Order: sequence, then C-alpha cells, then structure tokens
Amino acid sequence: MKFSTLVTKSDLAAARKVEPLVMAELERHGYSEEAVFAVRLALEEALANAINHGNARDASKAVRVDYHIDPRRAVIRVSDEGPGFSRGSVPDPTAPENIEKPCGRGIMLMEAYMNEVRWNRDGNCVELIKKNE
Amino acid sequence: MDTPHSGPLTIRVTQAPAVSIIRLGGMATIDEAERLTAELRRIAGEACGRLVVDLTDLEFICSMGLGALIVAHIVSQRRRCELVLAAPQPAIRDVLFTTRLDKIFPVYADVKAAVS
Repeated sequence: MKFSTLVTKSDLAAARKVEPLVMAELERHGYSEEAVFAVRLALEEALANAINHGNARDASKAVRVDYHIDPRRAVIRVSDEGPGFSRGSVPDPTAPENIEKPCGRGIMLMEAYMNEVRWNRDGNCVELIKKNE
Repeated sequence: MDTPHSGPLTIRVTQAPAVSIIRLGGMATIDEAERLTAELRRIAGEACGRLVVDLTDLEFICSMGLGALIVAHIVSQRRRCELVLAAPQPAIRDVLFTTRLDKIFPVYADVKAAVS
C-alpha cells in the first residue's frame, strides 16, 4: 500500500487541514455519505487525542497522518510524540459515573464508526480502517 | 477543496418568555469546540427557564462538541433549568445514541415539541 503523509504541529485548526484531502479521496473512490461522516469523525477524534493527550498541546511536538484510500478501504494512521497509553486504562464513558463528564468519548466513537481501530505497541499511533461497504 | 457538508459553526440565540432557543449550524469540529463550549456556558448561565438546542442545521459534531453540550447541561442544572435537544439530523442522532447521551438529554423530533 502506498501512503500519503502530512505532518502538522500540535494545533487543532492546523491539524484539520488534512481532512479535506482525505474527504476528497473518499468521495473520489465512491464512499457513501455515511462512510465519509464516519471517517471524518474518527479522524477528528484521533487528531484531538494526539494533540490534547499525546502531545499535551506542546507546540514543539508534531502530529503525523499517513493515509491510504482505495475503492476497497481507507486506512489512516495518526501518530503523536507522546509516551503513549493503554487502551484498557480508558474508562467507559457510558458508565453511570462517567456519562455526565464532558470528555472521554473519542475512543468510543472511533471504535463505533470504524471497522477496525488498533494502536501500536507504545500506544502513540492509532490505525483506523473503514471498509467501502 | 472540501465537502459540501463543511459550513463553519454558527450559533444563533433567540429569546422568548421562559425559553431560549440556541440554533447550531454547520460543523462542530475540534477547532470550534472551545468557542462552542464558551458560548453555551455563557448562554446557559444567563438563560431562564428551558434551553432548547436546535440541531436542525448541525451537520457534524465531534466528542469535544458533545462535551460543550454537557457543560451547558451542567450549568443549566445548577440554575434549575432544563436543556433539551431538538431536531437532530440522522447522523447527529446516531452520535448522540452511540454515546448514550440521549440518557441525559431529552431529544425531541422538532423545535415545536421541544419548546412545548
């Protein structure tokens, strides 16, 4: 698979500049409106996690996005320069004690809207996969 | 180039006796979430009675945007007011149901029902 790469600083507005490129590729390959919405949502959540948690909004740290989109599936990897995390340590945002907390739903949304979500061993690179169904 | 569903976030407030209607439009993206949170917190802190968030024109919301709604909900509760959601598009409704936020926000099919 050939990936396109974009590296951006840890800034929410700057990081979103990758979105139009990814969205255009999805539409070019005939992904449905629902799939485009799902990929945008998961990508936003991955970028927000990389910037807010991974890089702790440190402007000197970068976020890297690698993406490959073909008619069959979209594969997007979002990497940060943080120490990583363990998926198992993230609490369930739908639990009664968490449901009214303003944050903590990003991973849940990624997992709900993508076909596959997985992290590297260090926990500082997430891979999102969406099939064109 | 961007998709047709990419309008910037808009926030419009209409005041009526005992009800405030906040009409959100466009995209509640990660770079708009702080502005949305600040605006909703301010409006909820000033509103009296019911607060209706009209989602008719909202095309996208991320988890930070959901967080803004929750902050407004908490502020409203402290003021003994109720925040309700109205007229979400199917994609937005799916996000609300996926995250189970329909358990804390009443979600109405349209603004008229939400106001009444």
